[in-house]
Amino acid sequence: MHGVKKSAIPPTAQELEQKKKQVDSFRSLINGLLAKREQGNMNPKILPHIGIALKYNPEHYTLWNYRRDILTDSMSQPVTEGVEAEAEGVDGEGEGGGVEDANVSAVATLTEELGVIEAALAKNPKVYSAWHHRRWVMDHILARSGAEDRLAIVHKELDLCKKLLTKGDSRNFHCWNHRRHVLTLLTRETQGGRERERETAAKTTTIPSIDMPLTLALIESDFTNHSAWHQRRLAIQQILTERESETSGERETVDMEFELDNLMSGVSMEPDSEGLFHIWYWLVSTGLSLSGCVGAEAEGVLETQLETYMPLYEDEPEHRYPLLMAKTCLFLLGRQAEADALGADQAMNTHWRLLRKDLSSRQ
Amino acid sequence: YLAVSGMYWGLTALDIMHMLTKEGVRHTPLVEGAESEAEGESAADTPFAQEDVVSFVMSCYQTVPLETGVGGGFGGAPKHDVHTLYTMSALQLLALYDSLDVLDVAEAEGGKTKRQSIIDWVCSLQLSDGSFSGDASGECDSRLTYTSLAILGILGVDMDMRRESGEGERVHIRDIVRADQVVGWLARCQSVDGGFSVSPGDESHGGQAFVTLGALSLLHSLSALPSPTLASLWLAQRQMPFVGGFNGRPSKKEDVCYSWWVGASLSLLSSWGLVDGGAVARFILRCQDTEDGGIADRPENRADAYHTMFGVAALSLIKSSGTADADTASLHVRPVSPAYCMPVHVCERLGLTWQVLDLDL
Repeated sequence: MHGVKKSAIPPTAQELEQKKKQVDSFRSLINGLLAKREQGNMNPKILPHIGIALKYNPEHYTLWNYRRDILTDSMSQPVTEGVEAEAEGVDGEGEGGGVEDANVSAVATLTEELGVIEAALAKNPKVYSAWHHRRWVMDHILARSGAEDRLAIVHKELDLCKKLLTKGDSRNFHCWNHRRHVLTLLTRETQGGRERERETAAKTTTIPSIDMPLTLALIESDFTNHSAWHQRRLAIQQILTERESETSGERETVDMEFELDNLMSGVSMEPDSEGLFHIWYWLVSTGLSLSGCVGAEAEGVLETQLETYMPLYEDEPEHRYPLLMAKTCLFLLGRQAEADALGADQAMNTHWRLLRKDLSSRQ
Repeated sequence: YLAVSGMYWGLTALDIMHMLTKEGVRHTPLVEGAESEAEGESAADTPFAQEDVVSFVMSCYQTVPLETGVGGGFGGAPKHDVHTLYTMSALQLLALYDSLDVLDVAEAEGGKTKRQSIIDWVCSLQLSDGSFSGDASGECDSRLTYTSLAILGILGVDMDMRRESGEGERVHIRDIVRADQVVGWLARCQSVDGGFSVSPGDESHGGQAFVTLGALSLLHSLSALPSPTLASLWLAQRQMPFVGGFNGRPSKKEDVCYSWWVGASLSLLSSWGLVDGGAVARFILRCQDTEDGGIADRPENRADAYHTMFGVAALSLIKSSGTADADTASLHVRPVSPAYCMPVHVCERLGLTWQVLDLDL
């Protein structure tokens, strides 16, 4: 368990008794459910009971598995809509109308399921099995929905992630990872159904037109939100490496000066934040050249960066990153002896030796 | 739902502290060099004796149907679904009690041994991208890739990718899974900042560093890493100034469990010299609950078996690192494998090996 303070006041006998009753009651419920599972009982009427157990303990992975088995069993009509559909069509009974009804019913059930998962996540938003179950539900909803509905569903899911990150824990990596998966789904929906594009979409975990504004807002409210910085770096990287695409609409651009200025504001407030340093390091060592800034132009940028971070270091030499950033600039400008000599007596020297090795390996 | 893991954490921590034998948990530590003999104690008094532990672990075993026949694995508790997280804990416990041979009996149906069933089940979990899921649900996460590979190693598969085939009669990992593909996938889990993520492209996280480096280490494939140098730097940056403990990601709080996730990663990259090991040790010791015992995630929080295990195991790593201060160097703890998270004496008994990369600065 994490973050549970040891109480200075021990629980009373009454509190212990109440707690024991609650534990016994849920243990009895869960044991009953596991017995039903063992018997192969797939009655959908069990679902609400499993839901109660999962609200009590969202980490009970076997119960999430049980829900999937019951849902799969109850949604026995095969799929005809969706990207995943095979050309052969329906395998089994029914006219088109019957199958459509089954799909609509399944989508309704699965949409309710999203609500069950949300309730469990409200209790504990960091449960691997709950998030994984959500992915499964999303995949099955989309497989049974028409193109327009799919777009709406994916956008709604993206909105939920945004809500959880902006109003809840903005560093919840489960939510960020799920959001990246949803962005992949959205890219797939908006880039058409061709195989090659689907393959590219499957690797796309950022949509810059959405991510650039969202991450900027998160960063401006908290410069140390490295999860937001990570997503912003992915978006910048995507913009800089994207090729011309037949379906390209408005192209996002990267304003390097803005990004570097933004980082400078962050570093001056948080000069010991290694997260900010890594984003900056990626920008100067990789991002600049990706953006086409090379030669004398790149040198100009590095000189400006040096002029920014050298005074920051000199004013407060006890902080970690202005020193390492000044040294990095000197190294990239070809002034390697000066880079090594600057602050050589500081404890950061071992970190510099690692950076130096990395920088040398890129040349 | 994680009873088996809870037992693994508690009993392994005790073994590291010389407090465990086959007869069970001791009331006083064994002296250095002794392996067993509950001297002066009645065997009936010691909880968690071999018979009881093995019996409980095996009650968590289930067979599962595979396309190719029967597979097997362990759930977190009796009647809980099989999953590699709990299968690994189960096997680590059986190994601790020198009882893996209980798996060499045949299944009720068919001529396979349980050992073979488990191997076959794990092999069936490899996904199309090369990583491994934790069960049939297809979840993709480097933790699950690590647990799958560690299970195969503990069960006797030859994991050394420097070889093309198994030593002697042993099956080689290349024979049963797409081994090069999983190495490639693991390498892609290294981010541009040097850290490691749940799957390629996600944010770097200390726990993922351990499972990725651990998996590559037990495959003797750390050389596949795009940048060991940046990995060492990212890990060294986990140490919090003043507090001394490690955090798991930039701008997050220190937590005792990262003493293991980050610490074991440092061991695998020979990088303890980049941090102040004594400060980490002092942080772990400050997280002890001096009234009720155990170690918590942070000072004054509630202790639990998980943090106790990883705190004790990390202290052992610091002692073994050669960079310990006098206090840590004199701790009465047994060495631990940074790749398998099992006491070294257990790994040696099983012939388990792993790779440690030199830090070349």
